[in-house]
Amino acid sequence: MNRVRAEQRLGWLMVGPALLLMMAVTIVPVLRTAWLSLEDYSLSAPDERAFTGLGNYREILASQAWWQDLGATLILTVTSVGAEFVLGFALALAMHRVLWGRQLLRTVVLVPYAVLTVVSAFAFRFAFQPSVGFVGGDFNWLGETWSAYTVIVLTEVWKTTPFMALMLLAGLVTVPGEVYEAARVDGAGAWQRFWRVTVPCVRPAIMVALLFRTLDAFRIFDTVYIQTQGAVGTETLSFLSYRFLIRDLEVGLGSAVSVLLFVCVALIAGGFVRAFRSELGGAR
Amino acid sequence: MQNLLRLAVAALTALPLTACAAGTGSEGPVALTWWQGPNADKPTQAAVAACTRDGKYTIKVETLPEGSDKQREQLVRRLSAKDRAVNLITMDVVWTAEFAEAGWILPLPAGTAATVTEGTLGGALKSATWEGKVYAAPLLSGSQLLWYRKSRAEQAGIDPAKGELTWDELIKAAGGLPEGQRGVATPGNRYEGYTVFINALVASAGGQVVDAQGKPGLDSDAGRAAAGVISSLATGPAALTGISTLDEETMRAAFEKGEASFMTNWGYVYAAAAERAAKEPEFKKVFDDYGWARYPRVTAGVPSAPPLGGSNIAVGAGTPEDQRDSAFAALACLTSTQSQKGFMLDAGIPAARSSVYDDAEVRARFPFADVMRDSIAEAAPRPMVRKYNALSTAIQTAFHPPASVTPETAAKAGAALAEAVGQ
Repeated sequence: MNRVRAEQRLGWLMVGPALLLMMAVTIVPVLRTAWLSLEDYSLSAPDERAFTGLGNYREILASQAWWQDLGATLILTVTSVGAEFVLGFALALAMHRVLWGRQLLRTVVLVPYAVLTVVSAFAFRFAFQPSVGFVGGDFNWLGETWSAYTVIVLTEVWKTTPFMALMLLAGLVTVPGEVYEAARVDGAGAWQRFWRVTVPCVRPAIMVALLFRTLDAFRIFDTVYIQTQGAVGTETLSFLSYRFLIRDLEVGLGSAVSVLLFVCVALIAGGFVRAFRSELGGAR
Repeated sequence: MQNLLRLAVAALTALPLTACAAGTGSEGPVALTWWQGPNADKPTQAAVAACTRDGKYTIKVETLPEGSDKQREQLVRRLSAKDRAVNLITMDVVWTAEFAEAGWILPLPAGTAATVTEGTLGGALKSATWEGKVYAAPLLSGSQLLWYRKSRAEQAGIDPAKGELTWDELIKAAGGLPEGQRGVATPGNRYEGYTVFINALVASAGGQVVDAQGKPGLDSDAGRAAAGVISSLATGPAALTGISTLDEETMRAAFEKGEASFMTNWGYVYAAAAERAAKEPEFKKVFDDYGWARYPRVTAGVPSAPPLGGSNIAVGAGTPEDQRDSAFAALACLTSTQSQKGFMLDAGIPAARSSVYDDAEVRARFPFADVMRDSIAEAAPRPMVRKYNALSTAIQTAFHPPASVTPETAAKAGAALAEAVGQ
C-alpha cells in the first residue's frame, strides 16, 4: 500500500513541472483575459483604466459589427465545413477502396494540408487577382461580397478537405468486412450498403471530424486577414477581436470579444456532444 | 528528486535574469536603438555613420516590418511595456497624437525643437506637433501628386500641368479616351490609403473629417462633395475594374500598364519608373511620357488640399534619464538637412525641409521637386486624435466599396466615426 502511495507521489512530482507550465501558459492567460474583459482599458490611455463590469459586453452585443461578424463567421463555417465534409467523404471512400497506388493517392490527397494556411491564402489571392492571376480575368473577385466569400471558402475547402478525409478514412478502416458480406448476402445494394452500413458504422468518426473542423472554421482568421482584411462584409469574429486588441488597442473590448468567441465555441462543442451522445458512448 | 526540482526551478528563474543583465551595461558611450522601417537601408546606415562619428553615442538599427500598420503593432506593445531599448522611433505622421497622449514619447526640449523645426515645411511640422508641443523631428514628408501620361492628357483635351483641374473635369476627359486607357486610378481598397484619399477630398472641399475639438464633420457639404467624387470615380466613365481593391502598388501597375492614364500617388512612383526605364528600353517611352501636377480640386477655383504622408523621429519614454540627452542629440542629427537629402536621393522619399529641394543634385533627380514642395506645404494632415486607428477603420468601412458610395454615405460615416472615437 505504502509503495503505491509513494509511486503516486512520484508520479505527481514528475508531471508537476509540466502541469505548472501548462497552467502558466493556458489557464492564467484565459483567466486574465476574462478579468480584462470586465475593464474599460485602452493601452493608449493607461491612466483612464477602470472597472466596468459587463459594460464591454453590453457595448459589443449592442453593436452592429458583432452581429454582422457573427453572421459572416456562421456563413463561412457552414459552407466550408459542408463542402469539406462531402468532398472529404468521397475522398475517404476512394482512398479506402482503391487497391492500386494507394500510398501515392493518400500522399497526393494530403499535400494541401501540409501547406501553411497563410501560404494557401496568398496563393488563392494571387490566383484570383484581376488581370494578373490565372483565374482572375476581368473580374475583381475580392472586391465583391459574394465572390470574396467564394474565394475564402474555396481556400478553406482546398486546404482542409484532406483533414476531413483522413479523419473519415480512420473511421472507415474500423468497419469490419464481415458486416458488408452479411449485408450483401441479405441482398443489400451498393446504395443501401452505404447508407445502412457505412454511415452508421463511421458515425463516431463523422462526429469527431465535424466537431474539430467546425470549431476550427469558426475561429477562421488567417485567410480573411490575407485576402480581404475583413473588407466587403467578410470580417469574422476572430478578426473583430484582433481589430480591437491589436489595432485599436482596446484591451477591454477585445478581451470581451475573445470571451464571447470562447462561449460560442463552447456552445458549439456542447451541441455536438449532445447531438451525438449515443455515438460517443458507443465509441468508448 | 528534490535536488532535481530545485535545479529546474533555479534554471527557470535564472534565465530571464541573465537575459536582463545583458541589456544594461553602462560603461562606454551611450547605446541607443533606432527602430526604423525597411526599404531605406543605405541612407539609414549613412545617417547612423555620420551621427556616431564622434563616438558620444552608438546607434543600433532595428528594422521594423513593412507597412505602417504592422510597424505600429510592434512598437505599441514595446512602448506600453516601457521598453528601455526603444529610444529612437521612426513614426508615421498619424501616430503623433496617440503616442503623445499615451505618454509613450517625450516632448522635445526647446533647443532641440528649434533646431529640428527650422526650415521644415508646414504640413510636416503640423504632423509632429500635438497640443502645442513638438513631439518629434520631421525626417521625411511627401504628398500625392496627379500623375498622368502627357500624350493621353493631350488627346483627352486637358492640361493638368496648370494644377487647376477638378475631379469632374478629369473624369469626364479621361472617359473620352479609347477603351482600356480611360482609367483614373485612385485608392479604393479598404486600408489606410483610402482614409488618406477621403480625408484629402473632404479637406479639398473645405471641410474637416474631425474638427479641432474632435467633433466629426463628415455630415456636411464637404463630406457629401467627397462622396460625390468617389461615386463618380467608381461608377463613372473612368472607373477601373479593380477599384475596390486598388492601393498604391496596384495603381502604379495599372498606370505603368496603361489601363489608367491618370493616377494620384506618392512621389516614389517616379523613382520606380525611372529604375524600370533604365532596365527596359520599351518602357523608356512610357516613362518619358510621365507628367505630374498638383492634386485635383473638388471645387473649381479653390486650391486642393493634397494628402500628406511622411515620417518623424521621436524619443521613446522608456529611455533611461541618463540617455535622454544623447537621444535628443541623435534625433536632431539623424534629421539634419544632410541626412534628409540622403534619404531623398537614395530612397526616393521627399524631404521635410524646404532647403533640400533647392539642392542641385536633388533637382536633377526629382524634376517635380517644386510641385512636391508646394504640395506638402499646403497639404491637409489627417485628423490628430488619440483613437486615430478606430476612426480610420470607421471611415474606410463606411465608404467601402467605392461603388456603393452615395451622398448619404457621408452622414453614415459621420455617425460611425462618432461612435468609434466616442464623441
